[in-house]
Amino acid sequence: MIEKNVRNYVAIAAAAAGLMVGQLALAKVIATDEFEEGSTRPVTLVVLPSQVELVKQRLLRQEAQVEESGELEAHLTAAVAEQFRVHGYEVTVIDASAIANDPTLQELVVDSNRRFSELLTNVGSKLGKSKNVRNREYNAGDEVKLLAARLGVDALAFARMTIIAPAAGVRALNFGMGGESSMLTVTIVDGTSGDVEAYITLPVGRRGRMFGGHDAIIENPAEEMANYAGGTLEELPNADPSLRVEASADEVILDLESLLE
Amino acid sequence: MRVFKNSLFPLVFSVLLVALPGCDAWAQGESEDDLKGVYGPLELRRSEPNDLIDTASQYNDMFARRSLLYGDSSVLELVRRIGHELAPEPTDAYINYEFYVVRDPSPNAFAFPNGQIYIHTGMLARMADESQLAALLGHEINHAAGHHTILSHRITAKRLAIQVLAGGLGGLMGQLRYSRHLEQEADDRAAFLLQDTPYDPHAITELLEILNEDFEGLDPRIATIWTTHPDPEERIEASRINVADLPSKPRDPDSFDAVVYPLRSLTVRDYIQDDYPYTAIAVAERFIDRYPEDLDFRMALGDAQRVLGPRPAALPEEFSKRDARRNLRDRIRRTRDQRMERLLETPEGIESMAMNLASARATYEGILEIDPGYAPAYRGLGDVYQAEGNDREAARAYLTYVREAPAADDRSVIMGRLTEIRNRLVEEGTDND
Repeated sequence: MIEKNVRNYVAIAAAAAGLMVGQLALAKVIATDEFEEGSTRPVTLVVLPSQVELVKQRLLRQEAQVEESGELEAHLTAAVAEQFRVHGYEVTVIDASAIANDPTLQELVVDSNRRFSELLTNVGSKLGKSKNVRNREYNAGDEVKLLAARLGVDALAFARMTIIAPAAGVRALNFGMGGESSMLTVTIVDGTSGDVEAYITLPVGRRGRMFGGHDAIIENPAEEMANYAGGTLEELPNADPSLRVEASADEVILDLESLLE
Repeated sequence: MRVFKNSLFPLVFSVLLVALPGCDAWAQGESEDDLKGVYGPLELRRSEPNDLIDTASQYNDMFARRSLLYGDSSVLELVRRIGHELAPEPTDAYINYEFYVVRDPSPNAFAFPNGQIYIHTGMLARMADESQLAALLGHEINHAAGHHTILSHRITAKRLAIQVLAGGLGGLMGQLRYSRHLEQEADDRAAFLLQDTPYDPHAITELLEILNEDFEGLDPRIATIWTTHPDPEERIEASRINVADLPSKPRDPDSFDAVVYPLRSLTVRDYIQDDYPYTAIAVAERFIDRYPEDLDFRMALGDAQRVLGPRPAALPEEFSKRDARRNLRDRIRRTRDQRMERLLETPEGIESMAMNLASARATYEGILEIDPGYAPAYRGLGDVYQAEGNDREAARAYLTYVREAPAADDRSVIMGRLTEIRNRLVEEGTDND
């Protein structure tokens, strides 16, 4: 009986240690096998304008801080792009004014964002997303492929961040504990297949603790956004053009013509 | 919601409730349905300039950052011309009537308390003429002129308990839902506003009928602020009675068509892209009647029939609210492909798939009979064959498409499909060897 209890304690301790080790890894990269091994890992990518939802949780309501979100979005987009560059990717950033000046590009960006948001809803509501990403169950459709083709890149990166900051009154009601949370996700969507190749987040336990909370973010947005992007993309595999597999259009057409004959 | 686990919360909450200004009215039982618009000046209180007016301007910046402001000058000119014809003199310094078009296919419009009024592209696309647009703008102008958002915001304080316990998002966008009374007031006043203009006040009833259309069987329907308005049937009937004695005025759909035509095509495509195929079919059929020579709408019809996939060709007659809610939940939980795969596990799904693909094929072939050089129809046929698992025929149709339309915007997408087919055929050949 004692031996059984000891075994249980050892098992619990091992599980706890496992969890702690898991937590030590700063970011969580959920990716397809092909992305991991390199054949679908992009070399060139566009970071679309990021979207930040900054919500102040007041006593009576939650209040979207629209103006502050705008400032954070600019810093976050730049920070995410920089992290991709650090990992060897050829990155292009397109900003809202460039998009607004090109009606066709605007259509494609709006369509892609809408489709991606729909997909993110599906991803967000699903447990076991690792398996689904690996099985290529998340596809962002033709909209994303058209945009990637127009921009001439291998993939698109979508960055979405939510920051919930309790106001002083809410914190007081909560005995000064917690209530603050932040979450950044960066998703890489392949421009040829439309598949989600990688979905990268900070692990739950690190959100809003490892990095500065609302006040620090507002005080020093550039630095904090760089920290969040750096932490989230820390484990991103480096770009490696030698591993990527591509076929030219002419080659495909010739192959098919002979196959159909 | 964590705060509610705090055992001291009810006590602190009740102290705050008593101390909050404005709660006396709540205690006296005033409700949102007692609200009436104030069409004269209305002074802002406490944090309202920041909470409502500044935030409204910030939303405009956000729409711009997210590339959501539609920039076609002729469409904007139309909306702004009619909007300014109808807008009254602002009663307050914080109101300045401005009109924008937002790139969104859902049939929707909304007004901010600072006089900024937004119409979705999907709303404009589904309208028939300037009178319907004037009816919509008149309605939204009344929300701003009557200070409906500000008054609703004030009454929110009286609903403090409900708001807190529900934990809902109570920002400015959340305030753009008005009580039944304010909605009816905006409808009624819009009808009378139109009376002294060249626009037909009967258009307001038609507008409400457009908003009440539910082709998709979702609850709520394609999510909009309008579709959450209470009792659309009652509103339609009330508006009908309201305008019954008002004289009709001549209508001119052609000049309106000339401006919004690109939006019609864009919106049908959006419904297909956003996986609202029943809406796409209904709207495409309407536009085929309106523009019988236009093959793009026939093409859109074929695409919508194809993306129906294993769903029934039409919603069953007995489709209940419960079914609609289940439908909506399913859209959130599962991706499009996952939902289709589940349907294909049933005999009904397999049968529907075959029928919908046959309809789509007939539509594409019909287009090619009218114009054998209309390349997108080959792309559509390729999609049908691919959905049927016929790689060889799909490859032939796609190859015809890329040869006929070498500069097509979606060439890269089709090349991606051809690459997949090539890989499968090569694998098949290797297996046979």
